[in-house]
Amino acid sequence: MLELFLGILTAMGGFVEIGELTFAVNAGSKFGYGLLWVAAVGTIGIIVYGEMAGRVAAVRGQPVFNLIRERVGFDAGLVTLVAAVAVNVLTCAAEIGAIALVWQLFVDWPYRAWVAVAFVFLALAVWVLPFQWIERVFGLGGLLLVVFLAVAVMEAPDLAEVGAAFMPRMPALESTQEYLLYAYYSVALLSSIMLPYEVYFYSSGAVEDRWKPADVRRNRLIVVLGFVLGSLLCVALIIVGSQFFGPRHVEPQLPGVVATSAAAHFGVAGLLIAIGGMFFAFAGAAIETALSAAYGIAQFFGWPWGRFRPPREASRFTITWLAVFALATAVILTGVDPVSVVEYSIVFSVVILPLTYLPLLLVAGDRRIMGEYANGPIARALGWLYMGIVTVAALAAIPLLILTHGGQG
Amino acid sequence: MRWHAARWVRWLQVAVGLSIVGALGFATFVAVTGKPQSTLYITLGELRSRAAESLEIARGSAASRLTPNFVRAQAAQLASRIASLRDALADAETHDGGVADARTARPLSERLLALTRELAERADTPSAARPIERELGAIVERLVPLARSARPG
Repeated sequence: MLELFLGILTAMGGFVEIGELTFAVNAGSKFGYGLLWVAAVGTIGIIVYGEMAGRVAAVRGQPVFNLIRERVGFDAGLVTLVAAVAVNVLTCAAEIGAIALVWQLFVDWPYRAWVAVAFVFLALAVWVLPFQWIERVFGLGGLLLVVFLAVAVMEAPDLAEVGAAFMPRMPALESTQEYLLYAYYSVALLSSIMLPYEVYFYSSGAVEDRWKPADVRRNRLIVVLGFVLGSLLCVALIIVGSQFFGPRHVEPQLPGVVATSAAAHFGVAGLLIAIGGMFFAFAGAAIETALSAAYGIAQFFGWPWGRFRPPREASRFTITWLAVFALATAVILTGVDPVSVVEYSIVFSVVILPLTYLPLLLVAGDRRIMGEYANGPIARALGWLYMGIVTVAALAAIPLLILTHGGQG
Repeated sequence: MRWHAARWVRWLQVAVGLSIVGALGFATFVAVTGKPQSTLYITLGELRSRAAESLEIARGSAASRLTPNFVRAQAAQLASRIASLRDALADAETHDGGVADARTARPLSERLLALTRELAERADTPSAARPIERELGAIVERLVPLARSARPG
């Protein structure tokens, strides 16, 4: 029971990362409650595919990239692997940059020094902490972001209006450019909620934790409750963007600016809680992306992998996650703005979603492989519906990125 | 089923690849043949937001609800972004279509940058943030209509 409770809380605390923070608050600031329905759509989507990934891992002991190699073959699988690793490195770079920005708010060292410290810290954390502790320390620490739920409540939003905004609708906007920007934010917000690394990490984690078919029920509870509670944080961030930042003409790019909303209601304590929560959330996401890239490569090429193995036994896996941290740090040390990296990592993430999810959907629905644990009618219908949604989003993502000048307008 | 999965994933890869190539081709075609579109409105929108963010920091500092180090570091992070926007406005004065808007906004960006740097330097003295807050408020009030009128459509 305690395991289940902790699993739900860590899923909730690990839900938000720098991309979701930025896009959710900006979505609220630019479009009010107009994109809340995307949060609902994205949450159901990540529940559907997260549940499938956990179930397949529990029943077959196979994580996502193992399935991709097995189902689609080496050549087509390799394209997906390369794209997924590139996106993971970009996302990891954005998180490391965001950690450095957040640490600067505590101690005013130069930004690049903090980036280097972040690299050492993250590498040590993964090296030293057992897998479950990595999940728990950063997932539970990320729960400090609940302060934004409190801020959203303090802002006293119109609940009838918030409720109505969960139904998909097209708002009345002033120009074609505004509609394109709305479409861009819809795709980006969906992507930030359904980030592919979350599914890679979750399914690999299920194998790390040695889940068995008996854990299928626990998997369902963790995914549904953890992700629904996590999405409440996303909804809160949209409300804070709409109620607090929109009227002040602020479209925040920097995490510290977002934290000023907590300070406005709860003073210095609110500020420190918000920044602390951001640190744990970003660090957790950096670790998950680095490990996800290493999981993917090791699973695809059949190397021994897993944090449950000593580094000597899984040496190529260990070298890979260290290399991902190093590469991501090098990207940020070039001086590229982490906020720009976030934009690109989120948009390119949605591009690889259907490539990752299709093999998973096919395996999870195959009774010859999954037996009694194969997709039922609801999981099958939702799985194909979301395959259609993420495919449309993937096809639209890059054109929208270009047409909106990188999502700026 | 393996054959089906491989074929579908290949189709998806080709479709996504075509959408990327098509979008890049369209952007290149517009850049080469079309009238260059002014993106000054984006710069002005960002400047308005950065000004409003500096105002929030000044307000929080004056009310002692932000720590001095937070004010110093956050104002410094904002200042580097404001400096980039100021440079973009200087460039727009000579190269972009909306010269009048750029000429109006550039001095505001200079003043905004100076005030944000002052906010960082005097972060240990919350009372020093009050006059900065007032002046930042006036800059935001001038930038809001400017950014709005520059938007296309």
